[in-house]
Amino acid sequence: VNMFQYGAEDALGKLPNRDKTLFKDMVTAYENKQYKEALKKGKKILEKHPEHGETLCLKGLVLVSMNKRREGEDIAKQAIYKNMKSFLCWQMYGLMFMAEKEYAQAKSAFKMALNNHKGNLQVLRDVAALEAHLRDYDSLVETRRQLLQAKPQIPNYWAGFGIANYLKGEYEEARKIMDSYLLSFNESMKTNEASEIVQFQMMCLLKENKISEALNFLIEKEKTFADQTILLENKIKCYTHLKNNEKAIECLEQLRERHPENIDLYVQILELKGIKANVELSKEEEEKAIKLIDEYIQQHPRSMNLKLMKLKFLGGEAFKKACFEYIKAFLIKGVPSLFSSLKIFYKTSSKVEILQKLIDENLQSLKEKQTFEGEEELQDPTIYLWMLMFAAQHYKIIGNLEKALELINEAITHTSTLPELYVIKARILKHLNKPDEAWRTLNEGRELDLADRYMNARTVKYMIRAYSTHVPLKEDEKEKEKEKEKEEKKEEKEDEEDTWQKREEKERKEEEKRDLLERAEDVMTLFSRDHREGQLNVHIMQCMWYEIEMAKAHFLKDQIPKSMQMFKYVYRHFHNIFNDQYNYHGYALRRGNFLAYLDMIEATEKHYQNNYFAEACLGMIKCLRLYSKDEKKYIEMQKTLKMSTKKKDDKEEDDPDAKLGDIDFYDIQTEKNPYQQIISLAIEGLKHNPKFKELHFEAMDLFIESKKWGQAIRSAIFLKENHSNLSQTKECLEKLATEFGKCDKTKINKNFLPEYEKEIASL
Amino acid sequence: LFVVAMGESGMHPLVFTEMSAKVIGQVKALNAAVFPIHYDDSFYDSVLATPHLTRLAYHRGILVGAACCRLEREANQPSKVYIATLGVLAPYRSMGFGSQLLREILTMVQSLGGETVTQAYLHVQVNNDEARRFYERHGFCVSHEIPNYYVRLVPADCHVLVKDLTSAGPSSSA
Repeated sequence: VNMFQYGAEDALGKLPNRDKTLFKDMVTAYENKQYKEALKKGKKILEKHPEHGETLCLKGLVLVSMNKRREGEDIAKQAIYKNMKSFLCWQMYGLMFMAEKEYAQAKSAFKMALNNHKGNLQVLRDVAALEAHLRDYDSLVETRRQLLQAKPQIPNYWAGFGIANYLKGEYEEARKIMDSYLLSFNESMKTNEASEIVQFQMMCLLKENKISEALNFLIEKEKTFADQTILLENKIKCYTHLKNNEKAIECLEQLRERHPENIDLYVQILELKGIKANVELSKEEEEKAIKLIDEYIQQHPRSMNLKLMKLKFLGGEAFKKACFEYIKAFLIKGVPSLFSSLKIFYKTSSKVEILQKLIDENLQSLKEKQTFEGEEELQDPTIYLWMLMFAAQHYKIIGNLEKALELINEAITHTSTLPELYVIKARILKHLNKPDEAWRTLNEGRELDLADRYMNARTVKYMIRAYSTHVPLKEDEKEKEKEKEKEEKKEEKEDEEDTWQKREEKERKEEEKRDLLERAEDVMTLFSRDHREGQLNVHIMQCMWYEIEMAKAHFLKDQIPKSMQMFKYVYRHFHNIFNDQYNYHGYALRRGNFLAYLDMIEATEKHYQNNYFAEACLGMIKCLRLYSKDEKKYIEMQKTLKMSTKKKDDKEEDDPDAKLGDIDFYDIQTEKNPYQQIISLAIEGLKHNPKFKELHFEAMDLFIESKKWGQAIRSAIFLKENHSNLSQTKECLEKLATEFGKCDKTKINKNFLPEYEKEIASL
Repeated sequence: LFVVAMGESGMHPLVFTEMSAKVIGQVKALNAAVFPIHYDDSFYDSVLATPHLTRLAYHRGILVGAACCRLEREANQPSKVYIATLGVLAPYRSMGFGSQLLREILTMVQSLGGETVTQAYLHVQVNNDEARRFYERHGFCVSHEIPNYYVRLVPADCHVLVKDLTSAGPSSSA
C-alpha cells in the first residue's frame, strides 16, 4: 500500500531529485517495517536539509512505531509548527497518532491535511475509518459522500455511503442509495451481494417501523434473498406485528421444518395459537398445548427438547410418568447434564416434590435390586451411579447440603474414576463454606484427567478463592508454628526408616507450606504456559477471569501494587478489544460483508457494559484511593508497575500499552484537584455500567470527598430508586446530606447550587 | 484406541486404550479402590515407560478396569510376562470385564514382534479365592507359594499363578 499515492510528488517539489528518491525510499522502508533503514535514509536527507518538514515528521512517525514515543512526538510536533501548510506533514502526524491509538487527535490531524489538500482520497479513507471508529456518524456521512462523488465507479463507495446513512439514522436515504447501487451494478453483482443489499433495505424499513411496507418488500424480493432463514424470520416478525396470525404460523411451520430442534419456534407457535409462555394456564389450555406438542413429537420421536417442553405443561401423575421416562433415557445414555435440563422445574414446588419422590424411590430400587422402581429389567451399574449424581445435585439445590454430600460421597466410593463427581462435591463443599476442602476435592478430580482444561481452570479459581479466606497468622500463633516445626524436625532425625510413606508425607508438607496463590499459578501454567518466556500467557490471551480473581485476592491481602496491575490489565483489554475493530471499518466494505459489519457495530455498543470492566474500574479506584494521600507509596507502586511490564530485552523502549489507561502518579500530586484521574475512571465506569451498585457506593464516597456534588447526586438518585432497602444506601445518603451541609457553598457554581439543594433535600 | 468387536453386551462394548501421563490419576484412583497394596510413584513411572504393556478398559465412558504388566527377560531364558496389576472396580465385576481385560493382555503379549513370550505369571494373596478362581478359569495354575511376600498384609503369603503361553492348548473359557 503506497500511502503517498496522491500528491506526494507535488509536496516534495522543493527537494532535488536525489533527495526525493531518498524520501520515497524512506517511505517504503517505513511501510515494510524496516525502521532502522528508514531512519538512516532520513538522516541523509536531514544532513542537507535539516529543516525539511516532511522528513522530520516521517522520522517522528518511525520513532513512534519503534516505541520511542516521547522522542518521536517531540520531533513531529516541532516539524508541524513550522510546516502548518504541508498536507503531507499533517497526514504523517495523523498516522503517528494512529500508532498511539489516539484516534480523536488523529482525526483532527487528518482534517488539517484535508484543509490543505482537498479531496485527497487516501486521507479521506482514513478519516472515514476514524469517524466510524469514534462513532461520529454525522461527519462520516459527509466524508463518505465526498468519496462517492470523487469515485462513483467503485461499488464499495456506494455501500459505504449507504451504511453511513443507516448508522446516522437516515434510513430512507440509505434505501434510496442502495436502489441506485443496485441499478448501476446490476449485471456484475453476485447473488450474495444482491441478497445482502436487499436484506439491508429490509432492515432500513423495519427501523423506520414501516412494517406493512417491509412485508410487501419481502414478498416482492423473495427470490433475491439467499438466506431463507432470515427471510422467514423477518416475515414472521412482520406478520406477528400486523396480527396476521395465520400467515405467521404458516411461516413458522416452514422455519420449523428447517430447524426442528429450535424450541423458541415451538414456543412462538403455541403463543400464536393462544397459549402464552410463563403464565398460569387453565386445564383446557394445558391439554391443548399437550395435544399440539404430541403431534410434533410424532414427527420427531427422538427429540429430547420436545419431550422436555411437554413436561412443562404436565402435572401430577402425568408429570411423574413422563418425567420418569425422560430421566430414564438420560441415565441409560449416561449423559451428565440431566440435572441442568431439569433445573427449570425447581421453581414449581409441586414438581419438586414429584422429582423428590422419583429420586428416592428409584435410588432405593437401583441400590437393592438394580432395577428401576416398578420394573423387572436389571440395569447396568452406571445407571445407579448417574442416579446418585443427579440425586446429589437435587438435594443441593433444595438446600439439604448434608444429604447431598452423603450421596456424592457414595457415588465417589462407587466409582472413583469419574471427574464430574468431584466437581459436584467441590460445589457442595463451597456452599457449606469449606473453601479449603472444596479446592482439594476439585484438585483430586483434576488429577484424574490432566488434559481437561475446564477442571484446570475451575481448580485455579477455587484455589484463589480459598486463599482469599485465609486469615494471616497473628504474632503468637506464628511463634507456636515455629516451635512445632522444630519438634517435627527432631522427630524426623530420630526415625530413620525411609519408607515411601514418609517420603510422600514429607513432599506433601513441603508443598503445603508454599503460598496457595503460587500453587494456583503452577496449576494455571499447565495450560497457559507461554512457550517463549516460560511464564503465564494469561495477559496476551486476555484471560480476564483469572486476572480479576488474582486482583481481588491480592487486594484482600493488602498487596496493592500487584492488585492494581491485574485490574489495569483487564481495563486495558477492554480498550484494546474495542480498538481492534479499527481495521474492520475499511475491510468490511472492501469485502462486501457489510451486514456482519453492522452486527459488529451494534454488538460493540454495549462493549463496556460488562461486569469485568466495572470490577476493574472499581478495583483501580479502590487501590488508588488507598494511596491517594501517601506520596511515597505512590512512587513505590509506579516503580512496581513499570518494572513488571518491562520485558527482559527492552532497552530504551517504552511499554507499548502504557498510554492506555495509564495513570501517571507524578501528575496527581501536582494537579490542582488530586482526584481528577481517579474521578475520570469512576465516571467512565459508571457511564457504561450504570447498574453496578458497588461502583456507585465507592464512587459516591469519592465524589463527596472531592466535592463533585453533581456526580454524587446522580449516584444517590440511582441508589435510592433501586437499592433503597440496603443499609449502605442509607449511610451514603446521610453522608451526602451532612457533607453538603458542612461544605463551603461559595465554592460551588451558582447556577447549580439551587438544584443541588433541591435534590439533596428530596433524598 | 482398540475397540473390542464383541463384548458381553453388544450395545456397549468395552473400549481399550493404553496408559498415558494425562490419565495416570484415574489409574491411581482405580488401583487404590481395588488393591490393598499402595503402588508408589516409581511404579507408575516404570509403567509409563512401556505404555504398550498396559490396558485401560472404559465402560460407557468411565474407566472401570486397568491392567499393567512387565516383560521379564533373563539371560538364556525365554521371556515371561508379569502381570503387575489387573483390577476392575467392585460394582462392575461379574460382567466379564476382567476376562476381556486378561484376554486383551495375553493377545497383545503374543502378538509382540521380536520375541516369543512363553509364560505369564502373577501373585495372588493366599486368601483371595475369588481372584485365584478367576485366573484358574483362564488357564492359570498355582505353581508355588511364597511366604511373607507382602510386607503389610495379613496373611502375608501369596500364591504364584502361572500360565504356559506356548502351546495351542485349551483357550480360556467363555
